[in-house]
Amino acid sequence: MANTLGEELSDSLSNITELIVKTQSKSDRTRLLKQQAQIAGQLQVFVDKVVDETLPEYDAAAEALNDANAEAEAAKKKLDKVAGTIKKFAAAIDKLAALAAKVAAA
Amino acid sequence: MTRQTLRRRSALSLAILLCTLPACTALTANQKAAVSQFSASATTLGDVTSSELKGMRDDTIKMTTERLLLGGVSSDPNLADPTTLDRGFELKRIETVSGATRALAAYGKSLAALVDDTQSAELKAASNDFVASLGRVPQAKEKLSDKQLEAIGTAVQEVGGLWVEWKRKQALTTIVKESRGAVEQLCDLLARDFDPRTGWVAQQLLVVEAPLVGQAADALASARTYNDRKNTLEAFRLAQSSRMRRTEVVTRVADTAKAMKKANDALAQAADNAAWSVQDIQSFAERARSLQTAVKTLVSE
Repeated sequence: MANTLGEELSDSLSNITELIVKTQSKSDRTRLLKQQAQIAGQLQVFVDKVVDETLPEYDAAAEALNDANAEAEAAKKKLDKVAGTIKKFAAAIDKLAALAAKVAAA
Repeated sequence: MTRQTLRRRSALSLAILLCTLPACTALTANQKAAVSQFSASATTLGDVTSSELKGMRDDTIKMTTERLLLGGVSSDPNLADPTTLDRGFELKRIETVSGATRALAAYGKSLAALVDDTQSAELKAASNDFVASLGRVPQAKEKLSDKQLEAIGTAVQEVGGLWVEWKRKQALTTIVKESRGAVEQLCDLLARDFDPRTGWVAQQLLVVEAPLVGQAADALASARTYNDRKNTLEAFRLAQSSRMRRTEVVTRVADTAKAMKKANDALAQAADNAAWSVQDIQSFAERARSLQTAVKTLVSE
């Protein structure tokens, strides 16, 4: 229903604008310009109302998606850790080897 | 149980692991390609829509300025005046919708980062380190030949790779499933608000554009000099550029958002089902390319 009002106002605004462009009479144009401003003003009020209701919906959906994106980033970091873990094993083996050499020398 | 039997059993277990895991746990090359295509398209939709919203705001300020120059302050108080040049595309509106479209782009980039293989080289280097360290242990050096050490390095690399692939698929599946609701909602919002007939974005552009055309037509009718006409034609040019955004770009954003919703649904289903349909993802990619091309054409104009 609300959309129908927006569509009707849009159609009226487009039609009256075409009339303004085509009309030859200065006085007709002045009258049409005034009517055009009224219709545009009504459409502006309509859009404002729609947008006021819409913005919180965007905020909520974006917040949910941003949470999921943060989770994806964390998962990616975990993947990156696998090579690091193998390197840590290598470092641990080096330390053990050094310790074993010390024990053998003692 | 002898040491030899134990060694044989371990080798057999490792062989079974290596042979069976890739088939059931990793993403196939086709799946990875489909995810990459989806990711690139989602990034395009998010980034292009954000930049177009900024373009609409810039155009609004220019068109309102031009209307005020030609006809003065409007008789209707609901329309923009010299203190509200960005009326209709105020910063808060743009930031809120752009925040959402940037989240879609970030979603695409996150999925791409998850499927991109950045691990192979790092795993190879890590397994080389591992083998080198093992070779420095005297007892290991005595009992293992160079060939055996090399085989251990390969096994470490492969098991590490399998682990990464398994975790990669798990992560992708989780992210796609968890994001599904939010992605669908954002796609629905974009498809609704960028609808060229019923959406507020096109209607708002018309509110700014139509009064400018009216004032420009009136000014052109009374223009006497070249400069008079030049000024009015600059206003018509601005209105023409806005009309292209209102019809061509807005339509493509709505169509691409609808296609993304379908493609995301295909991704989510593929997480449960090995039969991966790429048709919806390809259709989404085509829409995203069309949007990008339309915007490039408008910007170069």
